[in-house]
Amino acid sequence: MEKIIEVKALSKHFKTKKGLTVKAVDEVDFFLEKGKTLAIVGESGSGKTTLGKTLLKIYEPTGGRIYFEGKDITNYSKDKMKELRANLQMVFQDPTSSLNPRKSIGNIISLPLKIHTRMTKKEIKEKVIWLLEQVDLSPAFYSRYPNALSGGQKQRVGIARALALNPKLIVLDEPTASLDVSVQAKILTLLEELKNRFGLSYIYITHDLGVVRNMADFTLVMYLGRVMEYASTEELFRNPLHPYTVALLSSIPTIMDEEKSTIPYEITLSGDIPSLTEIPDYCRFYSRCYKKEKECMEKEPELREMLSGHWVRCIRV
Amino acid sequence: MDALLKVEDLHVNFKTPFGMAKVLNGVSLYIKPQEIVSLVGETGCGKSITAKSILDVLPETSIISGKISLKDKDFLSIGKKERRTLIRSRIGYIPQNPMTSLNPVFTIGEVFFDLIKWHGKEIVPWRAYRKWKRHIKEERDIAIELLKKVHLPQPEDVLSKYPTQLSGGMRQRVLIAMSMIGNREFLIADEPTTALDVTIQKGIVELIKEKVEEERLSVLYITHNLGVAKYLSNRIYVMYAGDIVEFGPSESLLRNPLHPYTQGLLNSIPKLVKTGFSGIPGRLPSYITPPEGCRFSPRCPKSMEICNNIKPPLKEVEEGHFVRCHLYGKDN
Repeated sequence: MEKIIEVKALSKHFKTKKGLTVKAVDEVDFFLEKGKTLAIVGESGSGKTTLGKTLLKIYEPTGGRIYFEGKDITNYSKDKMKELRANLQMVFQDPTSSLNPRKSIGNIISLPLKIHTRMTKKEIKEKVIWLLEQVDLSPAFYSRYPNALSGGQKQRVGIARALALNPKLIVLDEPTASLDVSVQAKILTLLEELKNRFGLSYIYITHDLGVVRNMADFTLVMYLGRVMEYASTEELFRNPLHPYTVALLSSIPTIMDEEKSTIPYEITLSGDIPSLTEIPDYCRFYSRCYKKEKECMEKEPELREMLSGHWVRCIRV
Repeated sequence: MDALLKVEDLHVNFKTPFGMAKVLNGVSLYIKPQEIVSLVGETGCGKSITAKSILDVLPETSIISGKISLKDKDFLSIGKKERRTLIRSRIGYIPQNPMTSLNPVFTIGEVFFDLIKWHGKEIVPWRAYRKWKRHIKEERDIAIELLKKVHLPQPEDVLSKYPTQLSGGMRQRVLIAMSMIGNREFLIADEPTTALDVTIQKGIVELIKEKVEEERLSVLYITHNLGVAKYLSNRIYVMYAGDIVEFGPSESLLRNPLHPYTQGLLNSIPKLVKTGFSGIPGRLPSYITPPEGCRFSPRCPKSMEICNNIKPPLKEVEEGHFVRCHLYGKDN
């Protein structure tokens, strides 16, 4: 088993103007095997995107270690990161705002090639057209501009751009959140194909548990910057242990009767996700938990391995 | 059967620089008293245009024909002023995006009191408004009552807050409370949970269901989420490119989807069990030059010769379950 990426106690804390500390990502541990997909799930504000960006060192981590293919890249300088950048790419959430409206599609996809390689203009153009083919877009898109494209097509361009430098790991930040389901299904199928064709590994950030079930090998459930549960997707859906995971599953409006079997019991969470500046020093889920007891307020629970490979942060399990 | 709201053969066209966009292509639907009906479809299929036609808030470039009637009173044949008064006093509306639907420079209370006092009015007399604004009592009580109904804690506090001080879920609750002002019997909800997290969505959807049962409302619920539609509604209408392609009781429609579009849509949804998914090839047709015949035919895997030329009629396949597709012809 080869680990493509591993993080140990990774943290990203922001300071606000008022001097408060926002612990967006707080001591997260996980690793990902080569060629697999890890899903990071949670509500908005749970630190999913920050984790994704910190992993790629788009944000500088404030604590912990990041290992890429066994090498510690935590303290890599900008120049050193640039060499590595080709291996680590990201596809962003909103395809409309992540493409420059004043640049043609050809221009957008060729930019990473211009920065990182010494290919000639002709070679670059050939490569871009090849990349367009890989994401099922015709070469005619080369000279078009983003505003002429539909949401699904824009996201294909985003994927082509991420593929340009033959990466090993791609962080997909809710790539289908703004798309219709019929388009989403096509993008997800494309992502699966590309993964097999190029031997990629994915970190898939999403809040859609249906997508997780069908795409991911491993799942990490986050709440307020912390890992609440971590297991293989099979195991997590067969046997969700953390109350928060169950609440997330239970909040999905299901269509098929078979889907109901994955939800142990019906629960509706009251209240919203608390502010990241007001995190208690005991269990973070306490304010919304429906299984809370007095002992939950004593200290923050540890992430414990309850079953082989199934980690949970809850003392009530 | 007495329908509360009835839309018959509604056509809406828009004038554009490139020609006439023929968006709604003969939409017919009805909602019985105390019934929740979902209108399901993807972006750009005409769901919101249908809602806007009923609410009479279409832009001026639109040309509308057909019949919309509330309790047998035809909206489109009466004068504009009378129509607007009627619509505004009888139909409640829950908007899509709670973040942009409340004016950030007014407190919740300021907006709420205005709505309670002047709801249904076309023009608000300025002098009477200023005089009234100085001592609001009755309206405050009504507002607090309504906010309690949507389970907002400390309603007095909420009234003095600005929209930015509330979370998305709370704002949507405020908007639901506002939609219930003045004993309305009919609500239009235009994707009220799209902008919210799933955990919050569940609470809002449950609230809508509870209120509808308590207040004996009828609802047209617009959504693209078939799961929400299943949970909430008695009947579902499926819309594609300005046409109602299939409708029927929720159970029967989701158990036995008949139209190839409905089937494609259901197969596209990633489920909680590992079943995989397949999308629908192609994309929405242009409304300026829509396909003759069935508008889904260019994307349909089961398309036949006849589909390209003749718009299929509605056909009742199961009880109350209608489909607009040539596959279900007279012979089979």
